[in-house]
Amino acid sequence: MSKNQTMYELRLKRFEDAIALKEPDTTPVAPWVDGLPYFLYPELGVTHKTALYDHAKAMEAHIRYHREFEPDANCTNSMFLCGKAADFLEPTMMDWPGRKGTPLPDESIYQMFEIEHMRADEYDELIGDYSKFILTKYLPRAFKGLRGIENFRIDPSVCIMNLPLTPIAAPDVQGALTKLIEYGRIQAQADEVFLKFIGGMIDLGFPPIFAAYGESPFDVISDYFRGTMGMLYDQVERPEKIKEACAFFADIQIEKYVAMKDAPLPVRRVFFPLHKGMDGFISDEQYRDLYWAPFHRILARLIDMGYTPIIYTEGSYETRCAFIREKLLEFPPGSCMIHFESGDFAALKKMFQGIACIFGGVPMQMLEYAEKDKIVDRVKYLIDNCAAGGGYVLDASGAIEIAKRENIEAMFETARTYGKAR
Amino acid sequence: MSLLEELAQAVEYGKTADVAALIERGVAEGVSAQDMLSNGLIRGMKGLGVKFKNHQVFVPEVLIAARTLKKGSETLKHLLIDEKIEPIGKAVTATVKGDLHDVGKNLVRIMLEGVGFKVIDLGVDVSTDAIIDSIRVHTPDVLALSALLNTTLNQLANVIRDVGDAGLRGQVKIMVGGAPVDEEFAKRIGADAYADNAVAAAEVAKQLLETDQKVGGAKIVKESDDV
Ligand code: B12
Repeated sequence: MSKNQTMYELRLKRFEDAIALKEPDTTPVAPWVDGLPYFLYPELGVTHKTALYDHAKAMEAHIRYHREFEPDANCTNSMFLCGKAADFLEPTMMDWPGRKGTPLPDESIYQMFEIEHMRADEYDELIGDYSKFILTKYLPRAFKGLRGIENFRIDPSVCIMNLPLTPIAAPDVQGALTKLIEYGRIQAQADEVFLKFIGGMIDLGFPPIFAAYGESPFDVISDYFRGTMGMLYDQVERPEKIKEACAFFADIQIEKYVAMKDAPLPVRRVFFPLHKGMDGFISDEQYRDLYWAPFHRILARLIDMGYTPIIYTEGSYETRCAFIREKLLEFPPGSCMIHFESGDFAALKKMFQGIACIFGGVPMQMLEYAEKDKIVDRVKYLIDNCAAGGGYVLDASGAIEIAKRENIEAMFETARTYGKAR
Repeated sequence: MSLLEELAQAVEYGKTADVAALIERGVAEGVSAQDMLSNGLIRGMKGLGVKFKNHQVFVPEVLIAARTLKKGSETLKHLLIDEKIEPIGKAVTATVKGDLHDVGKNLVRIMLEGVGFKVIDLGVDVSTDAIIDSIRVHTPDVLALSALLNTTLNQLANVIRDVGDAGLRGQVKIMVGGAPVDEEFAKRIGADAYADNAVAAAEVAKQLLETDQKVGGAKIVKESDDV
């Protein structure tokens, strides 16, 4: 076995042990990174714009980062979007560096803004005829480049020869369909590069942290259909519609995972960032019924198929922890990983001991602004309080953009020396 | 239940459809517009604010209540003018340039209205120039700025600096907030006040009207403080 292969196996086992609540040889360190490698190696001239438009070049920064710091997993977050495809389809829900006319600097990560792609009175249309809604309403609203698709129809009134398909001959529909084909071609090229990136990192000894991703159905509706504000109103005005739509989206997602049941993936883990469930945003009761219940069905199915869901909570989750603990108790021990952005990690460890692997703990603000000693102390605190018996992976509080180099060095170094010395 | 109590409850439970009829009844019964505003609508919002602070209600309930408050205030508007009732102060709210997060800022706006401010909301992604213009045009007592991103935090400092450069710093009290902002930061950039939640923000804004506090002496109100 080559050295890289040996390291691959070692890192994979370290991570899997932590998840399985077994003591690994040392505490795994796997910080999520967004723009950090671009920031650390300015001499490469890589920015978020490069990551969107020149994937091969951006890869250099990620390879450099992995070689230097040797994290236990490839947690690259910013390498899987394609600027060329976006230029083509013109998504309305975001801006990105490199878009013609953007005010964003090249160093900026893409910026979501959320738009009401579905009106409050359209839930029934969505659930009643999903395909029609997506094709003729969602796509033209969500992508400027696909406006013409709104007139896509198959008209079965007279079915002689090709007659039902004649609406497709309309120039605007033609334009949109041509764009879709061309988009598919661009995306396929990009996907090839992304796969090469993941494969290349595996060859270098770094297992990917996950192999697929999803969102809680509630977040799907809030993020992409109703927008944060629209959803907040719906929570009071039409919670039963949210519930119906969530159940529906859970089914769709489960179908997707079932299709990859026996897929030959390097790791069997699915990543779920949780966006709109934090303290204060939603009542405990609605969190239980609207947010968690449909999500739980997805988790259960994945766990059943031998996948490990990575639950990545965002925002303050203090009021949710006890409930989530109860729910995770329904699964075998070590079925999930759960990330926390904030909170008392010693208490979190106690709470999830014997249930799930927790990760996170190093505040991003600290990495950017604090003195090195603070980082050393923080990492020691986390290892002292969370690492015993496995069930902990060291990570920052969010995906790292900018940090003092010495702080990143201190985080890895302390974890490597102190994590083993325990 | 008295009419004023009913009005307060209409706000607290977000019953927008009921509010116009209640006000009409109040007028018929000879209740003053001032009373309906302060001891009805605004009292309802205050009650809800306390519940929000205590985690008994959540962001959605507050947004719905704000709608009712707005509807009520609009219905009362001409009556208040007739009675020559003035708001307790004027405030401008904005999320700074480059930042599109407005849920927190909206809550601050709602709670400011809830304690009796007239609020001019400039929205999100607001440039320093637009903020300075609004100080000139509206002469607010309080400017409330929100930022949620590490990358837009410094924009808070820039606005305070530029307001100073425009010679307007003495005219307006500036409060800052948003998840990544803390009291240390607020002090460092020379803000007049900081609060970590919208209810406290409104209380501290009221206090800013009353005190002749020195510019930049960041008054801090935190969740734990009794406001
Ligand atoms: C909803 C949300 C969005 C929505 C916003 C929709 C909207 N209409 O606001 C959308 C999807 C658009 C969005 C986009 C992005 N977001 Co965002 N978002 C959030 C989220 C989930 C919730 C924010 C929120 O509404 N909180 C609830 C309110 C009530 O809290 P609040 O704003 O803090 O306000 C309270 C207090 O702070 C205070 N307060 C607020 N303002 C003021 C003002 C004054 C004067 C005072 C006194 C008090 C005060 O009172 C409020 C209530 O009591 C947070 C997660 C989190 N942890 O907060 C991320 C978060 C803020 N987003 C984040 C990021 C990175 C982004 C994006 C860059 C992501 C991307 N790559 O696209 C973009 C940036 C877009 C932009 N340019 O702004 C990060 C920021 C990290 C950081 N610190 O820099 C967060 C923390 C998520 C994370 N963990 O990574 N986001």
